Amino acid sequence: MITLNKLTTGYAKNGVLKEISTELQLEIKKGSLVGILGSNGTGKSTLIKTLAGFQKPLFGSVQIQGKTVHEMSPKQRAKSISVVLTERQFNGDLIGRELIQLGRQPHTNWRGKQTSEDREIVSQILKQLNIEQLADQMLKTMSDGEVQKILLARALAQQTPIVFLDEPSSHLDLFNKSLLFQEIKKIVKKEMKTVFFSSHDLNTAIQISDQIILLLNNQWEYGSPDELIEKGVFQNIFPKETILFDPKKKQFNICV
Amino acid sequence: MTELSKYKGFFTFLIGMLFLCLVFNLSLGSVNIPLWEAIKITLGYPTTKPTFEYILLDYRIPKSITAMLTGGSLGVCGLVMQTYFKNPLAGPYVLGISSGASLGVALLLIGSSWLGGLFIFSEIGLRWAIMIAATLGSFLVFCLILIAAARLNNSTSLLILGLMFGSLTAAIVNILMFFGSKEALQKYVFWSFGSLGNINASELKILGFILLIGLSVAVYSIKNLNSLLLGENYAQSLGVSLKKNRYLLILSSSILAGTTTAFVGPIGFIGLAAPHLIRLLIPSTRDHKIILPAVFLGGALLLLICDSIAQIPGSAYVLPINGITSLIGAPLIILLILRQKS
Repeated sequence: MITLNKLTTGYAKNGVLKEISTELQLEIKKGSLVGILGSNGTGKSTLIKTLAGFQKPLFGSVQIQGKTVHEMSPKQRAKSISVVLTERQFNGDLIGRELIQLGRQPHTNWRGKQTSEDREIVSQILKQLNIEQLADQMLKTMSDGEVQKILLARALAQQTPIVFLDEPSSHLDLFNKSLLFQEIKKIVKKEMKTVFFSSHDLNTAIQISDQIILLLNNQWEYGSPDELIEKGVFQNIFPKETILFDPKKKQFNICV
Repeated sequence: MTELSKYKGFFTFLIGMLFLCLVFNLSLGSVNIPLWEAIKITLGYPTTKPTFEYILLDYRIPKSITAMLTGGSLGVCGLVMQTYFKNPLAGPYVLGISSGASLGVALLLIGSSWLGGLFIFSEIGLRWAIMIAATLGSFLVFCLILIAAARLNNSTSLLILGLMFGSLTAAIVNILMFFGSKEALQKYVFWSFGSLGNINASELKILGFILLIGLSVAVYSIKNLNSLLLGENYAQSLGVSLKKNRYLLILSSSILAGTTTAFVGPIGFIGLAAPHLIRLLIPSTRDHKIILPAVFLGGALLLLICDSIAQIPGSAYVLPINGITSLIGAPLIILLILRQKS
Protein backbone atom coordinates (compact mmCIF):
# COMPACT_ATOMS: atom_id res chain seq x y z
CA MET A 1 0.00 0.00 0.00
CA ILE A 2 1.29 3.41 -1.01
CA THR A 3 -0.13 6.49 0.66
CA LEU A 4 0.20 10.05 -0.55
CA ASN A 5 -0.38 12.27 2.44
CA LYS A 6 -1.32 15.83 1.50
CA LEU A 7 1.60 15.64 -0.92
CA THR A 8 2.65 18.88 -2.54
CA THR A 9 5.42 18.63 -5.11
CA GLY A 10 7.54 21.37 -6.56
CA TYR A 11 10.81 23.10 -5.91
CA ALA A 12 12.28 26.07 -4.14
CA LYS A 13 14.03 28.58 -6.36
CA ASN A 14 15.90 31.48 -4.78
CA GLY A 15 13.90 30.99 -1.62
CA VAL A 16 10.55 31.13 -3.42
CA LEU A 17 8.45 27.98 -3.38
CA LYS A 18 7.08 26.91 -6.72
CA GLU A 19 4.28 24.43 -6.14
CA ILE A 20 3.44 22.10 -8.97
CA SER A 21 0.95 19.54 -7.71
CA THR A 22 -0.85 20.40 -4.50
CA GLU A 23 -2.17 18.31 -1.63
CA LEU A 24 -2.51 14.96 -3.32
CA GLN A 25 -4.31 12.66 -0.93
CA LEU A 26 -4.74 9.11 -2.06
CA GLU A 27 -4.03 5.45 -1.45
CA ILE A 28 -2.84 2.94 -3.99
CA LYS A 29 -3.32 -0.78 -3.53
CA LYS A 30 -0.72 -3.38 -4.21
CA GLY A 31 -0.75 -4.92 -7.66
CA SER A 32 -2.12 -2.07 -9.67
CA LEU A 33 -0.97 -0.32 -12.80
CA VAL A 34 -1.20 3.40 -12.17
CA GLY A 35 -1.06 5.91 -14.99
CA ILE A 36 0.14 9.39 -14.19
CA LEU A 37 -1.40 11.56 -16.88
CA GLY A 38 -1.37 15.19 -17.79
CA SER A 39 -0.32 17.64 -20.45
CA ASN A 40 3.23 18.90 -20.72
CA GLY A 41 4.24 20.93 -17.72
CA THR A 42 1.59 19.64 -15.33
CA GLY A 43 4.23 17.94 -13.21
CA LYS A 44 4.23 14.26 -14.16
CA SER A 45 7.99 13.93 -13.96
CA THR A 46 8.19 15.94 -10.76
CA LEU A 47 5.55 13.72 -9.19
CA ILE A 48 7.41 10.55 -10.24
CA LYS A 49 10.70 11.93 -8.93
CA THR A 50 9.05 12.82 -5.64
CA LEU A 51 7.27 9.47 -5.29
CA ALA A 52 10.49 7.59 -6.10
CA GLY A 53 12.46 9.57 -3.54
CA PHE A 54 14.76 11.52 -5.88
CA GLN A 55 13.22 14.78 -4.83
CA LYS A 56 11.85 15.92 -1.47
CA PRO A 57 8.21 16.94 -1.31
CA LEU A 58 7.50 20.58 -0.47
CA PHE A 59 4.82 19.50 1.98
CA GLY A 60 3.25 16.24 3.03
CA SER A 61 4.76 12.81 2.49
CA VAL A 62 4.78 9.59 0.52
CA GLN A 63 4.59 6.41 2.52
CA ILE A 64 5.22 2.82 1.55
CA GLN A 65 3.79 0.38 4.07
CA GLY A 66 3.89 3.18 6.64
CA LYS A 67 7.51 4.15 5.95
CA THR A 68 8.18 7.65 4.63
CA VAL A 69 10.01 7.42 1.31
CA HIS A 70 12.28 10.44 1.59
CA GLU A 71 13.40 9.42 5.07
CA MET A 72 14.60 6.00 3.89
CA SER A 73 18.30 5.52 3.16
CA PRO A 74 19.23 5.06 -0.52
CA LYS A 75 19.91 1.40 0.28
CA GLN A 76 16.46 0.83 1.81
CA ARG A 77 14.79 2.62 -1.08
CA ALA A 78 16.71 0.55 -3.62
CA LYS A 79 15.04 -2.56 -2.21
CA SER A 80 11.50 -1.23 -2.54
CA ILE A 81 11.61 1.09 -5.55
CA SER A 82 13.10 0.66 -9.02
CA VAL A 83 12.90 3.14 -11.86
CA VAL A 84 13.12 3.59 -15.60
CA LEU A 85 13.96 7.21 -16.29
CA THR A 86 13.78 9.33 -19.42
CA GLU A 87 17.44 10.30 -19.14
CA ARG A 88 19.88 8.19 -21.12
CA GLN A 89 23.15 8.95 -19.40
CA PHE A 90 24.42 5.43 -19.15
CA ASN A 91 27.69 4.32 -20.68
CA GLY A 92 26.93 3.18 -24.24
CA ASP A 93 29.72 0.60 -24.11
CA LEU A 94 27.82 -1.46 -21.56
CA ILE A 95 26.49 -4.71 -22.92
CA GLY A 96 22.85 -5.65 -22.35
CA ARG A 97 23.38 -8.35 -19.78
CA GLU A 98 25.84 -6.24 -17.80
CA LEU A 99 23.39 -3.36 -17.58
CA ILE A 100 20.58 -5.64 -16.44
CA GLN A 101 22.85 -7.26 -13.88
CA LEU A 102 23.39 -3.84 -12.33
CA GLY A 103 19.79 -4.13 -11.20
CA ARG A 104 20.99 -6.77 -8.75
CA GLN A 105 23.35 -4.30 -7.00
CA PRO A 106 21.11 -3.70 -3.95
CA HIS A 107 21.10 -7.44 -3.28
CA THR A 108 24.83 -8.13 -3.70
CA ASN A 109 27.74 -7.89 -1.26
CA TRP A 110 30.16 -4.96 -0.87
CA ARG A 111 31.99 -5.62 -4.10
CA GLY A 112 28.83 -6.37 -6.04
CA LYS A 113 29.60 -10.05 -6.60
CA GLN A 114 26.91 -11.79 -8.63
CA THR A 115 25.89 -15.15 -7.23
CA SER A 116 24.54 -17.91 -9.44
CA GLU A 117 21.09 -16.95 -8.15
CA ASP A 118 21.59 -13.36 -9.38
CA ARG A 119 22.64 -14.63 -12.78
CA GLU A 120 19.65 -16.98 -12.90
CA ILE A 121 17.25 -14.09 -12.18
CA VAL A 122 18.78 -12.04 -15.00
CA SER A 123 18.56 -14.95 -17.45
CA GLN A 124 14.91 -15.48 -16.57
CA ILE A 125 14.06 -11.85 -17.16
CA LEU A 126 15.87 -11.90 -20.50
CA LYS A 127 13.70 -14.84 -21.48
CA GLN A 128 10.53 -13.33 -20.05
CA LEU A 129 10.92 -10.10 -22.06
CA ASN A 130 12.11 -12.08 -25.06
CA ILE A 131 15.35 -10.11 -25.40
CA GLU A 132 17.94 -12.86 -25.10
CA GLN A 133 19.42 -11.78 -28.43
CA LEU A 134 20.28 -8.39 -26.88
CA ALA A 135 22.23 -9.85 -23.97
CA ASP A 136 25.63 -9.59 -25.62
CA GLN A 137 25.05 -6.41 -27.60
CA MET A 138 26.42 -3.01 -26.67
CA LEU A 139 23.79 -0.46 -25.69
CA LYS A 140 25.01 2.04 -28.26
CA THR A 141 24.17 -0.37 -31.08
CA MET A 142 20.55 -0.85 -29.98
CA SER A 143 17.39 0.89 -31.17
CA ASP A 144 15.30 3.03 -28.80
CA GLY A 145 12.77 0.28 -28.35
CA GLU A 146 15.47 -2.26 -27.52
CA VAL A 147 17.10 0.09 -25.02
CA GLN A 148 13.74 0.66 -23.37
CA LYS A 149 13.29 -3.10 -22.94
CA ILE A 150 16.76 -3.46 -21.47
CA LEU A 151 16.04 -0.66 -19.01
CA LEU A 152 12.75 -2.30 -18.05
CA ALA A 153 14.57 -5.59 -17.59
CA ARG A 154 17.06 -3.87 -15.29
CA ALA A 155 14.26 -2.44 -13.17
CA LEU A 156 12.65 -5.90 -12.96
CA ALA A 157 15.95 -7.49 -11.99
CA GLN A 158 16.00 -5.19 -8.99
CA GLN A 159 12.95 -7.17 -7.77
CA THR A 160 11.21 -4.34 -6.01
CA PRO A 161 7.49 -4.28 -5.14
CA ILE A 162 7.19 -0.82 -6.72
CA VAL A 163 8.35 0.25 -10.18
CA PHE A 164 8.27 3.75 -11.67
CA LEU A 165 8.40 4.21 -15.43
CA ASP A 166 8.83 7.78 -16.61
CA GLU A 167 7.43 8.14 -20.14
CA PRO A 168 8.21 4.51 -21.00
CA SER A 169 6.62 4.69 -24.44
CA SER A 170 7.68 8.11 -25.64
CA HIS A 171 10.20 6.90 -28.23
CA LEU A 172 8.32 3.82 -29.32
CA ASP A 173 6.15 3.13 -32.34
CA LEU A 174 2.63 1.76 -31.90
CA PHE A 175 3.66 -1.87 -32.13
CA ASN A 176 6.56 -1.63 -29.70
CA LYS A 177 4.49 0.47 -27.35
CA SER A 178 1.75 -2.18 -27.34
CA LEU A 179 4.30 -4.94 -26.74
CA LEU A 180 5.81 -3.03 -23.83
CA PHE A 181 2.50 -2.35 -22.11
CA GLN A 182 1.34 -5.90 -22.68
CA GLU A 183 4.43 -7.08 -20.86
CA ILE A 184 4.01 -4.55 -18.06
CA LYS A 185 0.37 -5.52 -17.61
CA LYS A 186 1.36 -9.19 -17.31
CA ILE A 187 4.02 -8.41 -14.72
CA VAL A 188 1.62 -6.36 -12.60
CA LYS A 189 -0.88 -9.20 -12.52
CA LYS A 190 1.52 -12.08 -12.10
CA GLU A 191 3.92 -10.61 -9.57
CA MET A 192 1.53 -8.26 -7.76
CA LYS A 193 3.88 -5.34 -8.33
CA THR A 194 2.65 -1.78 -8.23
CA VAL A 195 3.77 -0.08 -11.42
CA PHE A 196 3.47 3.65 -12.04
CA PHE A 197 3.96 5.07 -15.48
CA SER A 198 3.72 8.60 -16.74
CA SER A 199 2.39 9.38 -20.18
CA HIS A 200 0.70 12.04 -22.21
CA ASP A 201 -0.87 9.38 -24.38
CA LEU A 202 -4.33 9.48 -22.77
CA ASN A 203 -6.02 6.94 -25.04
CA THR A 204 -3.56 4.17 -24.30
CA ALA A 205 -3.47 4.99 -20.60
CA ILE A 206 -7.25 4.86 -20.24
CA GLN A 207 -7.22 1.50 -21.95
CA ILE A 208 -4.59 -0.18 -19.78
CA SER A 209 -4.45 1.55 -16.38
CA ASP A 210 -6.09 0.19 -13.26
CA GLN A 211 -5.95 3.61 -11.65
CA ILE A 212 -5.21 7.03 -13.03
CA ILE A 213 -3.73 10.10 -11.40
CA LEU A 214 -4.75 12.92 -13.69
CA LEU A 215 -2.79 16.11 -13.24
CA LEU A 216 -4.44 19.30 -14.40
CA ASN A 217 -3.20 22.80 -13.76
CA ASN A 218 -3.38 23.20 -9.95
CA GLN A 219 -5.86 20.34 -9.72
CA TRP A 220 -5.81 16.59 -9.70
CA GLU A 221 -8.17 13.67 -10.10
CA TYR A 222 -7.73 10.09 -9.01
CA GLY A 223 -9.68 6.96 -9.74
CA SER A 224 -10.12 4.04 -12.10
CA PRO A 225 -10.62 4.99 -15.78
CA ASP A 226 -14.33 4.15 -15.53
CA GLU A 227 -14.79 6.22 -12.40
CA LEU A 228 -13.11 9.18 -14.00
CA ILE A 229 -15.22 8.81 -17.16
CA GLU A 230 -18.33 8.66 -15.04
CA LYS A 231 -17.29 11.80 -13.19
CA GLY A 232 -16.88 13.43 -16.57
CA VAL A 233 -13.37 14.73 -15.93
CA PHE A 234 -12.02 13.85 -19.35
CA GLN A 235 -14.67 15.89 -21.16
CA ASN A 236 -13.34 19.13 -19.72
CA ILE A 237 -9.59 18.74 -20.14
CA PHE A 238 -9.34 20.14 -23.65
CA PRO A 239 -11.18 22.88 -25.54
CA LYS A 240 -14.23 21.22 -27.11
CA GLU A 241 -13.58 22.66 -30.55
CA THR A 242 -10.25 20.79 -30.72
CA ILE A 243 -10.56 17.48 -28.91
CA LEU A 244 -13.68 15.65 -27.84
CA PHE A 245 -13.86 12.73 -25.44
CA ASP A 246 -16.12 9.86 -26.42
CA PRO A 247 -17.20 8.15 -23.15
CA LYS A 248 -18.61 5.10 -24.93
CA LYS A 249 -15.45 4.31 -26.88
CA LYS A 250 -13.37 5.60 -23.98
CA GLN A 251 -11.20 7.64 -26.25
CA PHE A 252 -10.26 11.14 -27.29
CA ASN A 253 -10.97 12.20 -30.85
CA ILE A 254 -9.59 15.13 -32.76
CA CYS A 255 -12.35 17.36 -34.12
CA VAL A 256 -11.95 17.56 -37.87
CA MET B 1 28.77 -8.52 -13.12
CA THR B 2 31.29 -10.66 -14.95
CA GLU B 3 33.25 -13.39 -13.28
CA LEU B 4 36.94 -12.92 -12.70
CA SER B 5 37.76 -16.40 -13.95
CA LYS B 6 36.73 -15.48 -17.52
CA TYR B 7 39.60 -13.01 -17.61
CA LYS B 8 42.27 -15.24 -16.07
CA GLY B 9 44.13 -15.48 -19.36
CA PHE B 10 44.15 -11.72 -19.76
CA PHE B 11 45.51 -11.17 -16.27
CA THR B 12 48.15 -13.84 -16.77
CA PHE B 13 49.20 -12.04 -19.94
CA LEU B 14 49.41 -8.68 -18.14
CA ILE B 15 51.39 -10.07 -15.23
CA GLY B 16 53.71 -11.96 -17.58
CA MET B 17 54.34 -8.81 -19.61
CA LEU B 18 54.93 -6.87 -16.43
CA PHE B 19 57.51 -9.40 -15.26
CA LEU B 20 59.31 -9.39 -18.61
CA CYS B 21 59.42 -5.61 -18.68
CA LEU B 22 60.62 -5.53 -15.08
CA VAL B 23 63.56 -7.77 -15.84
CA PHE B 24 64.39 -5.82 -18.97
CA ASN B 25 64.08 -2.54 -17.06
CA LEU B 26 66.42 -3.81 -14.32
CA SER B 27 69.09 -4.66 -16.84
CA LEU B 28 69.08 -1.12 -18.27
CA GLY B 29 71.24 1.76 -17.13
CA SER B 30 74.65 3.31 -17.43
CA VAL B 31 76.27 0.14 -16.07
CA ASN B 32 75.58 -2.85 -18.26
CA ILE B 33 74.18 -5.67 -16.14
CA PRO B 34 73.37 -8.82 -18.13
CA LEU B 35 69.74 -9.95 -18.02
CA TRP B 36 70.60 -13.23 -16.40
CA GLU B 37 72.56 -11.55 -13.58
CA ALA B 38 69.68 -9.16 -13.03
CA ILE B 39 67.22 -12.02 -12.64
CA LYS B 40 69.54 -13.89 -10.28
CA ILE B 41 70.12 -10.92 -8.01
CA THR B 42 66.44 -9.96 -7.98
CA LEU B 43 65.49 -13.46 -6.90
CA GLY B 44 68.11 -13.32 -4.10
CA TYR B 45 70.75 -15.70 -5.46
CA PRO B 46 74.37 -14.98 -4.46
CA THR B 47 76.34 -13.16 -7.12
CA THR B 48 80.01 -12.80 -7.96
CA LYS B 49 79.65 -9.10 -8.69
CA PRO B 50 78.86 -7.09 -5.55
CA THR B 51 78.72 -3.85 -7.58
CA PHE B 52 75.85 -5.27 -9.59
CA GLU B 53 74.09 -6.18 -6.38
CA TYR B 54 74.62 -2.69 -5.01
CA ILE B 55 73.33 -0.99 -8.17
CA LEU B 56 70.32 -3.24 -8.40
CA LEU B 57 69.23 -3.32 -4.79
CA ASP B 58 69.94 0.31 -3.94
CA TYR B 59 69.02 1.97 -7.15
CA ARG B 60 67.31 0.03 -9.90
CA ILE B 61 64.87 -2.11 -7.93
CA PRO B 62 63.46 0.82 -5.91
CA LYS B 63 63.16 2.77 -9.13
CA SER B 64 61.32 -0.03 -10.95
CA ILE B 65 58.98 -0.54 -8.01
CA THR B 66 58.36 3.20 -7.88
CA ALA B 67 57.54 3.14 -11.59
CA MET B 68 55.07 0.28 -11.17
CA LEU B 69 53.41 1.71 -8.07
CA THR B 70 53.00 5.21 -9.41
CA GLY B 71 52.06 4.05 -12.91
CA GLY B 72 49.41 1.72 -11.50
CA SER B 73 48.10 4.35 -9.11
CA LEU B 74 47.85 7.01 -11.82
CA GLY B 75 45.99 4.53 -14.02
CA VAL B 76 43.48 3.68 -11.29
CA CYS B 77 43.05 7.36 -10.50
CA GLY B 78 42.39 8.11 -14.17
CA LEU B 79 39.85 5.29 -14.38
CA VAL B 80 37.98 6.49 -11.29
CA MET B 81 37.81 10.04 -12.67
CA GLN B 82 36.72 8.86 -16.12
CA THR B 83 33.89 6.82 -14.67
CA TYR B 84 32.82 9.48 -12.20
CA PHE B 85 32.81 12.29 -14.74
CA LYS B 86 31.47 10.04 -17.54
CA ASN B 87 34.22 11.61 -19.60
CA PRO B 88 36.93 9.67 -21.42
CA LEU B 89 39.18 12.74 -21.32
CA ALA B 90 39.24 12.91 -17.55
CA GLY B 91 42.46 11.88 -15.86
CA PRO B 92 44.25 12.03 -12.51
CA TYR B 93 44.84 15.74 -12.91
CA VAL B 94 41.34 16.95 -13.76
CA LEU B 95 40.58 18.06 -10.23
CA GLY B 96 43.61 20.32 -10.27
CA ILE B 97 45.28 18.32 -7.52
CA SER B 98 48.66 18.10 -9.22
CA SER B 99 48.55 21.75 -10.21
CA GLY B 100 48.24 22.34 -6.48
CA ALA B 101 51.39 20.28 -6.03
CA SER B 102 53.17 22.36 -8.67
CA LEU B 103 52.07 25.51 -6.88
CA GLY B 104 53.49 24.21 -3.61
CA VAL B 105 56.81 23.36 -5.24
CA ALA B 106 56.99 26.68 -7.12
CA LEU B 107 56.24 28.60 -3.93
CA LEU B 108 58.93 26.69 -2.09
CA LEU B 109 61.63 27.05 -4.73
CA ILE B 110 60.96 30.61 -5.75
CA GLY B 111 59.97 31.75 -2.27
CA SER B 112 63.15 30.38 -0.75
CA SER B 113 65.23 31.99 -3.47
CA TRP B 114 63.87 35.30 -2.21
CA LEU B 115 64.75 34.34 1.31
CA GLY B 116 68.42 33.96 0.48
CA GLY B 117 68.76 31.17 -2.01
CA LEU B 118 68.20 27.46 -2.06
CA PHE B 119 71.39 26.96 -0.11
CA ILE B 120 69.37 27.12 3.09
CA PHE B 121 68.51 23.49 2.31
CA SER B 122 70.89 20.58 2.15
CA GLU B 123 70.52 18.26 -0.85
CA ILE B 124 68.36 15.77 1.02
CA GLY B 125 66.59 18.51 2.94
CA LEU B 126 65.52 20.13 -0.32
CA ARG B 127 64.14 16.85 -1.65
CA TRP B 128 61.99 16.40 1.43
CA ALA B 129 60.99 20.05 1.40
CA ILE B 130 59.80 19.63 -2.19
CA MET B 131 57.77 16.56 -1.27
CA ILE B 132 56.18 18.33 1.67
CA ALA B 133 55.46 21.46 -0.36
CA ALA B 134 53.88 19.37 -3.13
CA THR B 135 51.76 17.49 -0.59
CA LEU B 136 50.61 20.70 1.07
CA GLY B 137 49.85 22.24 -2.32
CA SER B 138 47.70 19.31 -3.41
CA PHE B 139 46.05 19.21 0.00
CA LEU B 140 45.12 22.87 -0.33
CA VAL B 141 43.42 22.29 -3.68
CA PHE B 142 41.81 19.14 -2.26
CA CYS B 143 40.23 21.19 0.56
CA LEU B 144 39.02 23.85 -1.86
CA ILE B 145 37.45 21.14 -4.03
CA LEU B 146 35.72 19.61 -1.02
CA ILE B 147 34.27 22.95 0.06
CA ALA B 148 33.06 23.61 -3.48
CA ALA B 149 31.75 20.05 -3.91
CA ALA B 150 29.45 20.52 -0.94
CA ARG B 151 27.64 23.27 -2.82
CA LEU B 152 27.41 21.48 -6.17
CA ASN B 153 24.89 18.93 -7.31
CA ASN B 154 26.37 17.38 -10.38
CA SER B 155 29.63 15.96 -11.59
CA THR B 156 29.92 18.23 -14.65
CA SER B 157 30.09 21.36 -12.51
CA LEU B 158 32.75 19.69 -10.41
CA LEU B 159 34.73 18.83 -13.54
CA ILE B 160 34.70 22.46 -14.70
CA LEU B 161 35.61 23.59 -11.21
CA GLY B 162 38.60 21.27 -11.12
CA LEU B 163 39.80 22.55 -14.49
CA MET B 164 39.46 26.13 -13.22
CA PHE B 165 41.45 25.36 -10.07
CA GLY B 166 44.09 23.85 -12.32
CA SER B 167 44.23 26.95 -14.53
CA LEU B 168 44.33 29.27 -11.53
CA THR B 169 47.22 27.51 -9.86
CA ALA B 170 49.05 27.25 -13.18
CA ALA B 171 48.64 31.00 -13.61
CA ILE B 172 50.04 31.70 -10.15
CA VAL B 173 52.98 29.39 -10.88
CA ASN B 174 53.60 31.30 -14.10
CA ILE B 175 53.69 34.63 -12.33
CA LEU B 176 55.92 33.24 -9.58
CA MET B 177 58.34 31.97 -12.18
CA PHE B 178 58.54 35.42 -13.71
CA PHE B 179 60.00 36.67 -10.43
CA GLY B 180 62.11 33.61 -9.69
CA SER B 181 65.87 33.42 -9.79
CA LYS B 182 67.58 31.52 -12.58
CA GLU B 183 68.58 28.79 -10.19
CA ALA B 184 65.10 28.38 -8.74
CA LEU B 185 63.61 28.26 -12.22
CA GLN B 186 66.04 25.57 -13.18
CA LYS B 187 65.14 23.51 -10.11
CA TYR B 188 61.46 23.93 -10.85
CA VAL B 189 61.83 22.88 -14.47
CA PHE B 190 63.81 19.82 -13.39
CA TRP B 191 61.10 18.92 -10.89
CA SER B 192 58.46 19.24 -13.62
CA PHE B 193 60.40 16.75 -15.76
CA GLY B 194 59.42 14.08 -13.26
CA SER B 195 61.87 11.59 -11.85
CA LEU B 196 61.38 8.01 -10.76
CA GLY B 197 64.97 7.48 -9.64
CA ASN B 198 65.12 9.70 -6.58
CA ILE B 199 63.20 7.42 -4.26
CA ASN B 200 65.22 5.30 -1.85
CA ALA B 201 63.99 2.19 -0.08
CA SER B 202 62.67 3.90 3.05
CA GLU B 203 60.87 6.63 1.08
CA LEU B 204 59.43 3.89 -1.10
CA LYS B 205 57.81 2.34 1.96
CA ILE B 206 56.07 5.62 2.79
CA LEU B 207 55.00 6.09 -0.83
CA GLY B 208 53.69 2.54 -1.01
CA PHE B 209 51.78 2.88 2.24
CA ILE B 210 50.00 6.10 1.23
CA LEU B 211 49.18 4.83 -2.25
CA LEU B 212 47.78 1.67 -0.70
CA ILE B 213 45.31 3.78 1.27
CA GLY B 214 44.23 5.60 -1.91
CA LEU B 215 43.92 2.31 -3.80
CA SER B 216 41.92 0.73 -0.98
CA VAL B 217 39.38 3.54 -1.13
CA ALA B 218 39.13 3.01 -4.90
CA VAL B 219 38.64 -0.74 -4.44
CA TYR B 220 36.01 -0.10 -1.78
CA SER B 221 34.18 2.09 -4.33
CA ILE B 222 34.11 -0.57 -7.07
CA LYS B 223 30.45 -1.40 -6.60
CA ASN B 224 29.42 2.25 -6.65
CA LEU B 225 31.59 2.91 -9.71
CA ASN B 226 29.67 0.16 -11.50
CA SER B 227 26.36 1.75 -10.53
CA LEU B 228 27.64 5.09 -11.78
CA LEU B 229 27.97 3.62 -15.28
CA LEU B 230 24.20 4.17 -15.48
CA GLY B 231 24.38 7.86 -14.52
CA GLU B 232 23.93 9.48 -11.14
CA ASN B 233 20.15 9.15 -10.88
CA TYR B 234 20.13 5.44 -11.62
CA ALA B 235 23.07 4.98 -9.28
CA GLN B 236 21.07 6.62 -6.52
CA SER B 237 18.10 4.36 -7.26
CA LEU B 238 20.45 1.40 -6.85
CA GLY B 239 21.32 2.48 -3.33
CA VAL B 240 24.36 4.69 -3.90
CA SER B 241 24.57 7.63 -1.56
CA LEU B 242 25.77 10.21 -4.09
CA LYS B 243 27.33 12.70 -1.67
CA LYS B 244 29.22 10.12 0.34
CA ASN B 245 30.39 8.39 -2.80
CA ARG B 246 31.61 11.65 -4.30
CA TYR B 247 33.70 12.43 -1.22
CA LEU B 248 35.21 8.95 -1.29
CA LEU B 249 36.16 9.30 -4.94
CA ILE B 250 37.63 12.79 -4.46
CA LEU B 251 39.58 11.48 -1.47
CA SER B 252 40.92 8.48 -3.36
CA SER B 253 41.97 10.40 -6.45
CA SER B 254 43.51 13.21 -4.41
CA ILE B 255 45.62 10.75 -2.45
CA LEU B 256 46.71 8.93 -5.59
CA ALA B 257 47.43 11.97 -7.79
CA GLY B 258 48.74 14.20 -4.99
CA THR B 259 51.09 11.64 -3.48
CA THR B 260 52.44 10.55 -6.83
CA THR B 261 53.15 14.12 -7.86
CA ALA B 262 54.76 14.85 -4.51
CA PHE B 263 57.16 11.92 -4.75
CA VAL B 264 58.03 11.68 -8.43
CA GLY B 265 56.80 14.94 -9.93
CA PRO B 266 54.11 15.33 -12.56
CA ILE B 267 53.77 12.37 -14.90
CA GLY B 268 51.38 12.90 -17.75
CA PHE B 269 49.25 10.59 -19.87
CA ILE B 270 49.60 7.33 -17.91
CA GLY B 271 46.35 8.03 -16.05
CA LEU B 272 44.60 8.82 -19.31
CA ALA B 273 46.13 6.07 -21.46
CA ALA B 274 45.97 3.07 -19.12
CA PRO B 275 42.15 2.94 -18.79
CA HIS B 276 41.74 3.41 -22.55
CA LEU B 277 44.24 0.66 -23.28
CA ILE B 278 42.52 -1.81 -20.96
CA ARG B 279 39.01 -0.97 -22.12
CA LEU B 280 40.01 -1.53 -25.73
CA LEU B 281 41.77 -4.79 -24.89
CA ILE B 282 38.70 -6.14 -23.07
CA PRO B 283 35.67 -4.52 -24.69
CA SER B 284 33.29 -7.18 -23.40
CA THR B 285 33.02 -5.81 -19.88
CA ARG B 286 32.82 -2.49 -18.07
CA ASP B 287 32.83 -4.16 -14.64
CA HIS B 288 35.29 -2.32 -12.40
CA LYS B 289 36.03 -5.57 -10.56
CA ILE B 290 37.87 -6.57 -13.74
CA ILE B 291 38.83 -3.20 -15.19
CA LEU B 292 40.29 -1.65 -12.04
CA PRO B 293 42.94 -4.26 -11.26
CA ALA B 294 43.69 -4.56 -14.98
CA VAL B 295 44.19 -0.80 -15.21
CA PHE B 296 46.57 -0.93 -12.25
CA LEU B 297 48.65 -3.56 -14.02
CA GLY B 298 48.36 -1.70 -17.33
CA GLY B 299 49.47 1.60 -15.78
CA ALA B 300 52.40 -0.13 -14.08
CA LEU B 301 53.38 -1.74 -17.37
CA LEU B 302 53.12 1.51 -19.33
CA LEU B 303 55.26 3.50 -16.93
CA LEU B 304 57.82 0.72 -16.74
CA ILE B 305 58.06 0.69 -20.53
CA CYS B 306 58.33 4.48 -20.63
CA ASP B 307 61.06 4.36 -18.01
CA SER B 308 62.95 1.77 -20.07
CA ILE B 309 62.73 4.01 -23.11
CA ALA B 310 63.76 7.07 -21.09
CA GLN B 311 67.05 5.39 -20.29
CA ILE B 312 67.85 5.04 -23.99
CA PRO B 313 69.13 1.47 -23.90
CA GLY B 314 72.89 1.40 -24.33
CA SER B 315 73.58 4.96 -23.29
CA ALA B 316 74.29 6.82 -20.08
CA TYR B 317 71.56 9.42 -20.62
CA VAL B 318 68.21 9.42 -18.85
CA LEU B 319 65.52 11.49 -20.56
CA PRO B 320 62.81 13.25 -18.54
CA ILE B 321 60.12 10.67 -17.81
CA ASN B 322 57.27 13.18 -18.09
CA GLY B 323 58.26 13.89 -21.68
CA ILE B 324 58.49 10.21 -22.57
CA THR B 325 55.08 9.29 -21.10
CA SER B 326 53.43 11.95 -23.26
CA LEU B 327 55.51 10.98 -26.27
CA ILE B 328 54.40 7.34 -25.91
CA GLY B 329 50.95 7.92 -24.42
CA ALA B 330 49.52 10.32 -26.96
CA PRO B 331 50.32 8.25 -30.10
CA LEU B 332 49.17 5.13 -28.25
CA ILE B 333 45.74 6.62 -27.64
CA ILE B 334 45.55 7.89 -31.22
CA LEU B 335 46.46 4.45 -32.52
CA LEU B 336 43.99 2.63 -30.29
CA ILE B 337 41.14 4.94 -31.20
CA LEU B 338 41.82 4.74 -34.93
CA ARG B 339 41.98 0.94 -34.78
CA GLN B 340 38.74 0.79 -32.82
CA LYS B 341 36.91 2.82 -35.48
CA SER B 342 37.80 0.47 -38.33
